[in-house]
Amino acid sequence: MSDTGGPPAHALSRPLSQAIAADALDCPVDGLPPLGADDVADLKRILRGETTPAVPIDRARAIRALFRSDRSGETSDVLGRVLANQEETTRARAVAAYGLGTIPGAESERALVRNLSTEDDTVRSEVVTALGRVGSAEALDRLKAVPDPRSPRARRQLSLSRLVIALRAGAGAQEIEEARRALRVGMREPVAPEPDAPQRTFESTLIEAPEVRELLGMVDGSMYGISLSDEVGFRVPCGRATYVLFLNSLLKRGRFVEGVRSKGLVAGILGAQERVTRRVTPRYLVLSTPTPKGLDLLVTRTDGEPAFSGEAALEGDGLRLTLGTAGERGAPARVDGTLSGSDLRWRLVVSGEARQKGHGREIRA
Amino acid sequence: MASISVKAQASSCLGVSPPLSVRRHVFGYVWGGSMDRTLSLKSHLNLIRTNAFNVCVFLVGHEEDFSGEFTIDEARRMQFAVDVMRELYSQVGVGVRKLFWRYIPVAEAGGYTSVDASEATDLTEDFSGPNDGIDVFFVTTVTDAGGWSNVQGPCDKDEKGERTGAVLEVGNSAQFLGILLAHEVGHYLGLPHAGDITNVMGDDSDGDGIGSINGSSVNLTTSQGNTMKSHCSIRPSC
Repeated sequence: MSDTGGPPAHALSRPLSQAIAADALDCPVDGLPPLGADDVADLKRILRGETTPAVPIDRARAIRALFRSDRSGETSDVLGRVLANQEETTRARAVAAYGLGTIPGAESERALVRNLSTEDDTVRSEVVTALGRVGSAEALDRLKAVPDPRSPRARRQLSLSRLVIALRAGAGAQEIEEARRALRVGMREPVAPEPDAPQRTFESTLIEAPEVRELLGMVDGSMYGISLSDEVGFRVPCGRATYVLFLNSLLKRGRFVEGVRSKGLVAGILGAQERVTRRVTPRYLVLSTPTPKGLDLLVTRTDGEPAFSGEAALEGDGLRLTLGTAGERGAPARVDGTLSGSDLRWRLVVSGEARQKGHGREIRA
Repeated sequence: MASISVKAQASSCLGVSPPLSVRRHVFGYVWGGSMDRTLSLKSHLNLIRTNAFNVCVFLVGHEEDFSGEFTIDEARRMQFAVDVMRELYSQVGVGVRKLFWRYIPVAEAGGYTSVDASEATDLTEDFSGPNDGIDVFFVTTVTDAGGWSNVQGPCDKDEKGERTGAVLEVGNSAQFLGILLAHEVGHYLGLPHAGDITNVMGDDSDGDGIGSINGSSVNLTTSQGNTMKSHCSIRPSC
C-alpha cells in the first residue's frame, strides 16, 4: 500500500520511527517494546491513512507495534480495516489477523469472521487460527460452514479452532465430539517405545505459586482464551529444553478429577521455556473430554497436529493416564501418570529414535 | 602467511574441483545480482580454513521458477544478507564456509510460510539441513517478531524440544536483513544481547530478553568472537 499522497507528511517520534520505519534500519528484532500513548494514537492515524509519515514505513511491523502496545477495541478496529483491505500485502494482512487473535472481544471476532472467506490462503489460515484463540460460539457456527481446505495443515488448523472454541464455549457433547472426530481424521494410532528399545525418561515436578505466577508472566503467545491456574503447574525437562504445563483454572486442587470429568476442556497448555531469555512459548494444547471409562486425551501442537493421544482410565478415586505418540513424524514416546483429587504425577518416556524430518530440495539456480 | 591456492583450498575446504566459479563454488552464491562485497577472495579463503561454520539456507514455500512465495529479488536479498553476515563475522575471524541452498516446495510447506514463535519451532522440528550446518529458514511472514532463534542452539538437529535453527522473515532491506541474519545466527552461536546498539547483538537495556538492533549494529568484540568459535557448529580446520 502506498505511503505517499493524501494529508501532509509529518515526522515520527524516535520510538515510533524505531518501531515502524522501513529504511531507517532501526527496528527491534525479537519483539517490540510498548509504545507510549501519543505514539499509539499516531500509529493508529497512520494505519488508517489519516496521516502520512515523513519516512516510508513497514506496515507489517507497524501493525505488530500497535497490537503489542495497545489491545483496545480501537486497535481491533484498525487491524480489522487492514485485514479487510485487499490492497494491503499478504504479510500485513496476516500480521493483522494474528494481532486480532491476541485481543479478545466482539470487535476482533467480527473482523475475523468477515474475512473467513478471503481468497488469500495465508491470510485465511491466520484468520482461522486467530478465531480459535478469541472466537465465541457464534464464530464456531461460522467455522463449521467453512469448506474443508485442501492443505492438511490448514484442515488441522480449522479442526483445532472448532474444537477449542467448542470446549471453551461449553458446547454440547455432540458438538464437541464432532469437532474432536474432525481433528482426529488421519491421525495414527498412538505408538509408544518398544520396551527393550533405548529410551529416556523425564519426570514432571509440581510447581506452585509464586513460581507459577512468575512463569505465567513470562508467556509470550496466545493462551487460547483459557484462564490458567496461577496456583499450581508442572515442570518437565525434555532434552535441552524445559516445558511447563499450565492447568486450566477450572481444575481446582483437591477437585482435579471432578473438574476434568465434569466437561470437555482445554485442560492445560504446555509451553517451552527458552533457556537464556526464560520466555515461555505455548507449544501444545492438552484437550480432554469425559468418557464413561474416564477421559479421552489429545495433545496437539498449536497448528492442530496431533502430538500425543490416549486416555485416562478410572481407577479407584483417581485416573491412570496412558498416552502415546500420535503425530505422523514423531518418534515413539509414552506419557503415563496418575491423577488424584489433589495431585498429578506424570512422566514422559521418549525413544532414542529421531523424529522423521523433511530436508527440502536442493536449489540448482 | 603462505599464499593460498584457490584450487587447493576449494578442494580441501569446500569439496569442489575445477572448473570453478569463484562466486558460485567458492562463495557459494547461486543467484546473480550485485553484492557490494568488500570481503576479498583471499580474506574469505583465510576465514573458512579455521573457525568457520556451514549454513543451510531454506526458502520456505519456494518454487524454482519463482511461482511460489519468493521473487528473484527476495532470493537475491537473502544471498546479499549472507554476504553481509560474512563481512560482519570476518571482523572477529569467524568464517562462513559452505552454503547449502535448499527450498521447501509450496505443497510441502503448508502454513509454514507465515509463522509465530511456536510454529517457528515446529518448522525446525519438521525440517532440517545437513547436520554440520546451521539451519536458517526464510519465511514470508513472522507474525509476532522479526525473527526467532535460540541462544546457544544445538548442533544435533534431532535434539528434542527446542528450536534447531533460526527463522527469519524476508521483509527487510538487504543490508538490514544481513544484520538481522548475523544477529540471529549470533544467538545460535551462543551470543546473548550485548547492551550496545552498535553491536551486532544489539541492545537490551531493560533486560527483558527483547533486543533491538539498527543499521549501526555492526560491531563484534573479541570476546564475542571467542564465544562463537567455541560453538559446536565450528567445523574442523581444512
